[in-house]
Amino acid sequence: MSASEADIYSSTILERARRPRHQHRLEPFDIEAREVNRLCGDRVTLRLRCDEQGGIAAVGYEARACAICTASADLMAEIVPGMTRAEALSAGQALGAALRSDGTTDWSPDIMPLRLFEPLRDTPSRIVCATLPWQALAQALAQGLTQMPAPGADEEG
Amino acid sequence: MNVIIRPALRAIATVREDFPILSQSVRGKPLVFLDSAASAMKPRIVIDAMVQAMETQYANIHRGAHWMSERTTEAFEATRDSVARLMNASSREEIIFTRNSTEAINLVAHSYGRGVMKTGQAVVISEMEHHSNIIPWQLLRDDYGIELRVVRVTDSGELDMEHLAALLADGRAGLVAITHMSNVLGTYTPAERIVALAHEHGAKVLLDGSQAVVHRQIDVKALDADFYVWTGHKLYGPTGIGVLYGKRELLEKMPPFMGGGDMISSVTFERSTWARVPHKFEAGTPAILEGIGLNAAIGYVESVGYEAIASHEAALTEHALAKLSAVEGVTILGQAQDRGGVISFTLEGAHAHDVATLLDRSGIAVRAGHHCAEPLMQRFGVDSTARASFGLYTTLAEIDFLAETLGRVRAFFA
Repeated sequence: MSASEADIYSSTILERARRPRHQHRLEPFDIEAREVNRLCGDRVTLRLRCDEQGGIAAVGYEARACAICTASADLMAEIVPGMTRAEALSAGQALGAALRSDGTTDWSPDIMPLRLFEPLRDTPSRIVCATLPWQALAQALAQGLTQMPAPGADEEG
Repeated sequence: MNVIIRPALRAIATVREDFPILSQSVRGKPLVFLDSAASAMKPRIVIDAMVQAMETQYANIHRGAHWMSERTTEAFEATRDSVARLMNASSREEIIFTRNSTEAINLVAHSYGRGVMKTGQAVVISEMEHHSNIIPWQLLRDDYGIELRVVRVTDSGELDMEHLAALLADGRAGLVAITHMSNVLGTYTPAERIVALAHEHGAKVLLDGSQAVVHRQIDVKALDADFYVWTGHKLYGPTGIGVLYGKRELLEKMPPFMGGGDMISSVTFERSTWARVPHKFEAGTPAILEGIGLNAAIGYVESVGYEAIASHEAALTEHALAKLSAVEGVTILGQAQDRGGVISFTLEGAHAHDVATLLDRSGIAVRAGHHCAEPLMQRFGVDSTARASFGLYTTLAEIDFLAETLGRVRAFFA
């Protein structure tokens, strides 16, 4: 394929899809969430481990999915640990906004490593492949609100 | 036979000219449209029929005592005659218009399932059904106490007829609802044998002809089908108009599906009575323009002729099976003896969606995913496949280009 034909598959995406670095069943874990792309049946199962402050300590995932989705999940598992819940949520929202924008939305520093998905803007049907792992993360964080200690709970309590 | 085959093959260049969209470019490349099983492109004659209706004779139907309404009613009802002729129905009253095949199946599940079948009876479907021929029966099962039985599909992608016989043996099946052609495997099911077997055991039969009607002449009398459903947009017609054929004696027994205007005989607050079939099942203003467009589509298909279409598509399918299976890493799902121009495949080392995206970058449109047939995907142990499907306008050169491009996709992901 020529470079322009294969523009959405950067070498990083192909590399992450072929040899994911973070695809594993995380043990122990605090929260698990599963997201399915109803258009194609692709699925991502995500596990999070939290730190004592309620931030995200570790992320593991298992994907039965395309190259875009697998690469996105793998990059997510790399950049999310160390983030607070709010930071992780807003990173996912920023990715969705940047991919669905007309190109004017800034890529915030948090999600700069995900900018390689930018060519997906011309292929709207594939944007969900990149955002699916982040939807799973948002779902995990939503259900985790009841399970995880609130940020700074120790100090306040 | 040559007399029939040659004109079809020779006429292909002409046939393509009838479809304005086929001369479009995609991403700067000629469109190679191999997704007709999802929805087919429309010939000029269909587009013109709908536009002309809006420009020259349009009003609501079955109600206005004025010229425009009368002309539009005639045009819409002429479609019912054409459908009855196309399917060789005994009468036009056996043809009910719906939005699509899905609505037609839901109509039967609701009106025949809840209105005529008895709790404790069974509905028999198969592993190769589209979700639209699974979910309505699951809903019926859960709401109404009907048992749902599933006929196995063999490794070659054919219906396991022995298993069907076993599922019918206790005589409790009230209805067999099975596809006439798989939208994933391209397999034609032996409809006449299915009907005969079901009838022997006292079950009625619904055939989902959404794919089959595009490629083969359907004769509901010869099949002895009790219900037969299909949709206009796959037969080169508009979206929003589908067909339910039902034997009149069954339709007469069935209660209405939806209530509203046009389906009544008289209405009081105490009691209402229903219009005769088919209008009993057609509540509200129907898809008038789409109905008129469908008539043009039927006329178009008849003008090309099913024999010519079948010959052309048989040649395409044979060529495609040979070409695609020669591409390293390609695995084709199913090897049914009787199959048509719908071919699902996987490419080793590449997800179906990634395959479809790279084909799209070369101007080739295929479908990727589970094709609304998740149980069949599970049966064959795959999450998703890519699917190339052919219409009467598909050419051998397009198939060659698909095979060649798949080779390049394979190399890219290797």
